[in-house]
Amino acid sequence: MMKRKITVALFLVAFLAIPAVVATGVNNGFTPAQDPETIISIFDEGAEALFTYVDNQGRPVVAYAQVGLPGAELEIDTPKYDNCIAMAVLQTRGDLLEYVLGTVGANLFNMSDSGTGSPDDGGLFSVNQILGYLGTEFGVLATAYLNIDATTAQQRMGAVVSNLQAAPFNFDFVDLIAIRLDEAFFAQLNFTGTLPFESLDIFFYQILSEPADVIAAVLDPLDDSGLLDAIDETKFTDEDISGSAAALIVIPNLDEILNMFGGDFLGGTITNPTDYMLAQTTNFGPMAIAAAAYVGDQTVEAGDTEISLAEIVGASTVFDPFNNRHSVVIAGLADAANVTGITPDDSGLAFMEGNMIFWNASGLHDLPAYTSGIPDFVIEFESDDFPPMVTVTRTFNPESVTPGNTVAVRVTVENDGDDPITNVTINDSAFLDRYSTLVVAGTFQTSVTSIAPGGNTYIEYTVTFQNEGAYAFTDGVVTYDYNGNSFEKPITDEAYLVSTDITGVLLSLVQDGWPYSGMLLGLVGLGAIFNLARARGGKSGSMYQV
Amino acid sequence: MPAGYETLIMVFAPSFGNYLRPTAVMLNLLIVDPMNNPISLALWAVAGLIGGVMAGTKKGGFVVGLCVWLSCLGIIAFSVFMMFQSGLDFGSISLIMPPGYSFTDFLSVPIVQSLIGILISVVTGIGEGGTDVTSMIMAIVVPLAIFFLIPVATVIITGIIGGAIRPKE
Repeated sequence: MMKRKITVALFLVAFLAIPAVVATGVNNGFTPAQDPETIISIFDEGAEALFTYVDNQGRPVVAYAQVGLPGAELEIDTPKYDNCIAMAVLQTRGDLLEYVLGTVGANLFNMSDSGTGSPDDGGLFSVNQILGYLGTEFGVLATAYLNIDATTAQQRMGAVVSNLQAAPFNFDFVDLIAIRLDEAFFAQLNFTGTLPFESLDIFFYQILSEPADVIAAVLDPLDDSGLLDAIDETKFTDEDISGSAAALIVIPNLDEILNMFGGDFLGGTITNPTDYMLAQTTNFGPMAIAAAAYVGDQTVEAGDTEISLAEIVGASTVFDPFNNRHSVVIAGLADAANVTGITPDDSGLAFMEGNMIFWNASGLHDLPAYTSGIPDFVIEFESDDFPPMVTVTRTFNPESVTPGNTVAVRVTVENDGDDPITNVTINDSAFLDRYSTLVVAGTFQTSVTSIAPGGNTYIEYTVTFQNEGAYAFTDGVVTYDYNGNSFEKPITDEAYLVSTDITGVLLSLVQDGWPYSGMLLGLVGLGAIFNLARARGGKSGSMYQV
Repeated sequence: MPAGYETLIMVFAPSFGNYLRPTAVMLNLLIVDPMNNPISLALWAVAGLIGGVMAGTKKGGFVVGLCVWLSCLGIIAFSVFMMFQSGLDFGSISLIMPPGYSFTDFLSVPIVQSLIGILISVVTGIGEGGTDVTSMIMAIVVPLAIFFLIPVATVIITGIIGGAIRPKE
């Protein structure tokens, strides 16, 4: 249940969570539908939200988002965004997408109660399986144009791409596909309903930029006079994090979309705050949402009694919320912890539901104690259920090889905490069933009774690769017990590259294809010898005249 | 070669073997959609032109162009044969996407982009012509056949041109 709350909160950061916190105070009965002026002011003036959650492994998830008017760099008011209903940039890295979809996947795909969703458990399919096939790391630019001819849409898309390829964004794109949906298309499908548009052109581009560059491109143009100024942006690209994501969504004319979908298309039935908001539409103009998130390594361990947001986000200065716009901070803690206090705890400006805490940072900033900024957001708790600081690392020696060579792999589990962990099991054998051409030796899984504080254990094995490629070392896991609880820590998913140069390619082709490759080379050689012999026989004059 | 092919090789070469790379290279050369893969088309044109100039006559240019195309066919056939000879088992192919790669990388492969366009037209054809399986198959096969014949036509034509433009000795 808590995981679902986390994920819902992540998605609501840019929309409903902001008005909910701003207008709620400590009013438990508030719903966003009761304060449309606040909702409208969010879109007119902008807002920001900082979200943090620490799971029962002590791992933090951090997300920051701003919603508001697009910056001048995006050039929203130029013709290239005419008839554009939305432009979205999204890039993910590591297991952030898996972390998010692993919690909402059960709802999206009608999976079994067991949560795995695999057919063995009565579910339709496993979200993890789908992600394994499709991959969880990608970068995509998508743009949609409404009710214009294909040529004009293509021209405007090209101008958008040029703008994003230039400073300050400096994106690097390659085009993927373009899809046009119009009445002729749907007529041929015997669709008899009423479409809310005449034509829709959707363009997809692949982002080739490095994740660090995408994070910078999304965050740097933002207004950093608020909470963003306190956040260490390098946290989003640190090599120790297990996943990150960045997104930029621009809606040049929100009014147009709301008008398109706000009438009969919705059937006129208001059943939730979103429908109510649509019914209260005024002249919404352009809107942009920018967000970045990451999943970090364990920061909370056994014996800790408080969580500091300043420490988690690497704040080097106080949190200074927006002066004239809305700033909210949302923080959460695993269910196993008992929250005993929060700071700041000013009445009406902090709201706690279970282990989720909402702070109205803008309201706090108006108080005399925080006019110079808010030093920190702290959650105090009691818990015997967080594990000691355990680190799991997998190393390859050497870092890459060519086909036919061997790599030595070592997986080490270190107990950096003050208490022993027991029943420790390391299992890194998942990759063995994937590749039939590997030659392996050594230990792929082991169990030890305990690891003392400061101690470690490891497994070592060797792998010899016959073929080039990227080999997925994934689904490795370490399990251990502490204080009567069982914990599972994944071994970081990695791809090991077996690459080759042109000489290696040719050699491997000859070796792998022997004796057929030998026969082919022999034929070519015989042909060359034959022609040379003819040339020496004085018939060169006719060689090049066929 | 388009970046999508490199992803395809990195993901599937562990299962398909080292002959996947030359197969992918030949596939990129032999099935050419001029709208999505102008570089390959240009390569064929230049190769035919050079071969025709070297041959010196139109007839020679035709033969050289045809032989170049046939040799590429031979290479891809040999590469596919060797993939199966190395013990390729379709039941044991790993479909797990390695970290750092994703399905979207494949969408940059020109032939994949062309296939998506073809499949969309097939979908619209379903509504127009019913569910005739033969028509659906033809709607997919015919464009691919055209893409397959474009290189040989290009290299032969440019070969003939090359043979025609070479100064006579």
